[in-house]
Amino acid sequence: MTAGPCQPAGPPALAADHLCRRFRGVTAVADVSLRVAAGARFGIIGPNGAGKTTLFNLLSGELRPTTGSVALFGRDITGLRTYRRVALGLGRTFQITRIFSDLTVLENLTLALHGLSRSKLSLLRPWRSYRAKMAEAAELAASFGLAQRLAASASDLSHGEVRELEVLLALALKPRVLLLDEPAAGLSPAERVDIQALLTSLPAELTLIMIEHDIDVLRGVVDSAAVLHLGSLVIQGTMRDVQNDERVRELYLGGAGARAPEILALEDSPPPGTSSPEAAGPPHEAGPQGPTSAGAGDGP
Amino acid sequence: MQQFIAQTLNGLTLAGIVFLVSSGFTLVFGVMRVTNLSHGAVYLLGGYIGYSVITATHNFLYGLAAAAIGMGLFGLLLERTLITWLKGNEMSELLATLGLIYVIDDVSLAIWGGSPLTINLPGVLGGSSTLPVSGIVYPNDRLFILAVSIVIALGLYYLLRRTRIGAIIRAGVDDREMVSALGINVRRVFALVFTLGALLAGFAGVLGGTVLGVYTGGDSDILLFALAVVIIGGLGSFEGAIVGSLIIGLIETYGTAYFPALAYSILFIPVIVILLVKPQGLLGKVNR
Amino acid sequence: MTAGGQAPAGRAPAVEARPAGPGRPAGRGARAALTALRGSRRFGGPVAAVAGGVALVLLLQGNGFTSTLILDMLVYAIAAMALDFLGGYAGLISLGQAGFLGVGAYGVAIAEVHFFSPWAAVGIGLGAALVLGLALGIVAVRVRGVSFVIITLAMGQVLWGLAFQWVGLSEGDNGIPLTILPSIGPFDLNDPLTLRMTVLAVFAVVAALLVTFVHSPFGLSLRGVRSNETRLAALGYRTGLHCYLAWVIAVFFTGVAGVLYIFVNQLISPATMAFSQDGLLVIMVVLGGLRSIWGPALGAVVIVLFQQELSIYLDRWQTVMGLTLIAVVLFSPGGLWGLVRAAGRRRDALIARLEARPGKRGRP
Repeated sequence: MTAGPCQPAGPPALAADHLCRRFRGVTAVADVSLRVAAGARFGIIGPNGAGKTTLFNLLSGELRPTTGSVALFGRDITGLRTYRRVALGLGRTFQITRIFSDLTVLENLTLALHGLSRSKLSLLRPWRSYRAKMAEAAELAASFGLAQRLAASASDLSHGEVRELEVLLALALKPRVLLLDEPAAGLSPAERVDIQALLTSLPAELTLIMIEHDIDVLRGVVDSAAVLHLGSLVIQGTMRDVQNDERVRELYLGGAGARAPEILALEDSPPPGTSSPEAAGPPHEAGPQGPTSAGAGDGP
Repeated sequence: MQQFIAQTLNGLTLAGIVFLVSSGFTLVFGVMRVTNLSHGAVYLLGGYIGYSVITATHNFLYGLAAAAIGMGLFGLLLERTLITWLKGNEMSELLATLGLIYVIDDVSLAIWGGSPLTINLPGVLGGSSTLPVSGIVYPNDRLFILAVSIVIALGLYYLLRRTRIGAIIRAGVDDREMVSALGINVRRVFALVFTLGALLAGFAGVLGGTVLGVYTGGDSDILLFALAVVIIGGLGSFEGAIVGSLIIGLIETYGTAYFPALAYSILFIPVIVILLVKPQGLLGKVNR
Repeated sequence: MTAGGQAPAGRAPAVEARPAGPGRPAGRGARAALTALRGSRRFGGPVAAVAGGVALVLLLQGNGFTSTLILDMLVYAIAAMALDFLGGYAGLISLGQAGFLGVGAYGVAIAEVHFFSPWAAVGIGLGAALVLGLALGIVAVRVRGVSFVIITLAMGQVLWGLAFQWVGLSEGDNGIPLTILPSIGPFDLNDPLTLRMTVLAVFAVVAALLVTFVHSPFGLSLRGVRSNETRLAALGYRTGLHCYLAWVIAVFFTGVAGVLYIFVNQLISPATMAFSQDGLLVIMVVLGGLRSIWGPALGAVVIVLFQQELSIYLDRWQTVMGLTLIAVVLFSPGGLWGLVRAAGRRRDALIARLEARPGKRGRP
């Protein structure tokens, strides 16, 4: 069931209905409803603590919602455990990378590649003898420049390579919808370019939902977004709609002084509202502007 | 009925001893993430030391003090050396304390021999009293243990809930990095908690030596109780240790009294129930 | 038997040692051999062959005392390897395995007491271990890490306690002697030589199976569980199921060891299941080297040797056991097998230096 980015018919790739998650008095996610079309490139943005990762945990099955439901291509998955959702085509990466650091890159990929097949319970054949899977692992690694690192222990990889491996692990499962939690976090400017290239090279049929603070990574990849604040949805729409929205501007540019410093602290990522050509007022960032984020004239 | 009340008191007494041992174990785990398998051996060694001192001085309090202080110092030494060297590697700490059991047991065997010993309490503590209401005659040493356990439990509760150091300890259970970030000397807190745990275990060893005896294998027995307590109550939870001790003490005592054939396995029933229903323990809060 | 052990970090896994493949200089014997040796992880094969040969000779020799020693080593090696599979690879270190060894042994003994035939007794012993494993596993794999250690310790202790107190069944402290071993046609385990060969054969089979399992996708999944269980679940694995299977396999093989134990020793008593025995198994695995299968077998050899030989000269051998474990944990967490691997890496580095000398053809 593949769909191009502009396909209106068919159920949304991922739909959340009135999702709510409370932890002992703290409401991390409050009544969030989302519709992400098949093939869309969708961003989830918001200040730190807005509940974005919790939302992801609800979507991927790591957490159960207090109320509300999640549907994948029209099918209700609210009650399903993570591994079942994976089998239905929902993939995910993690903000704090979760790779198998005491295994080699090849072993990491092999684990992922066996994830959806019966062979993961196979006891008698050596895993190296699965030629097709070995070839696939090599291909995957090669497609993102990790071909030379197959034999390396995952703990020896650079931070950028770890993030790439993180994405590769999710891709190995051939997801139809991929949740990416801050894929560019902690990367150097050069590494961010690589990650952005990786993300744009993903197949068009794959629906991407991405949490990200880096405006350039977002701008290059995402065509619509939802903004979260304190667990609630502020707005969902195209990037232009989001950037122009009053509430979003106030959120990032300083209604409440408490919000502004967080955005200012993001070194190379000026707040979304200020980078569009129509932005009024001077940028508020502290710290040096990286080359990739200079010049607000790049347009959407 | 009288029998039931007596057994209940027995169960509470056992619960008291088990509480003293398991509270130290669970606090050490909660604050330091250290699983000190040698905790039972420390209890036993405390019992042996207490026995020797009491036999030599005929003074029960000296024995208690010697065991408590001696084991406290031992705990401090252990924490400063072995635990520090292992730098927070949980499995290594577990394995190293496992090895320590063999060392302590063997040395104890060498010094005190393999025959079971009993600590007999002098004077009034060695006798019995008639309890009000029910008219049961009940041994004073058990009443003493019961009283002491309750006092210590209250004391620990006060320490944890009402003092600054207690707040630091509780905070450490919740979030060790944060405590360190607040500028508190975490290493000193570790040393304190570990020492306190060992002290309690040594103290309990003397108390246990009166009603349970001091014998080879006593460390495994008490360790099993303590572990059952922390599974039921929750690793790292002080209140869980209280609740768990009561459950274990009473079930074990009633079980042995009324279903003697099942004695050893009766412990298992609440443990299995908890693992099936709430694996992190009744009051467990430590994230695994 | 495939090569034992895991690739040290950094080794190219696809480059298995091949003496002369296409593209390599044939005829340059020494260099080819060097290249072949480099990257070779085949410690397991040669070492096992040598050790097996030694064991075979000693067993055939007929000296009762030596062969009982070797047989004890083999029995405990089986239990230790099984524990490594569960504890080393999946990270679920069980401190209750001696309990399951005892169940296997007691199963056989009690069955014979109740007049079952020897082969049926074997079936009952194995069956008891298997059933207990299946049942207890449901509870045990609900927790991980330290909690798992604790719950298995408790299980082991409860089983020991039952052996002690359920006198009607187990005859308590005295234990149960075994009089008749199974026989089928000419194959009679009552004959010492047959028994010795059988134990050796069972050991070889179990070792081969475990090494195979370890190199399978399932074995890799266990390492994944230990490494990052939540990620593995996010990759579609039912990690609880994998842990359960590993547990059942380990408990079953430990039961096998138990059956062999009573054949070799012709007596089972609660002492075999005491906590010190659980600890000893863990010491064997850690001393030998976690995650190597062969290492724990080696560890079993060393510990059984210590237990029998050291105890003659040294009253305080238990202290030595404890200090050994502490020392291994502090100074050489990879155990004896880790030392072997480290030596292998130094050898490879040396070979690399030799190969890189000027005038020689570089590595393709």
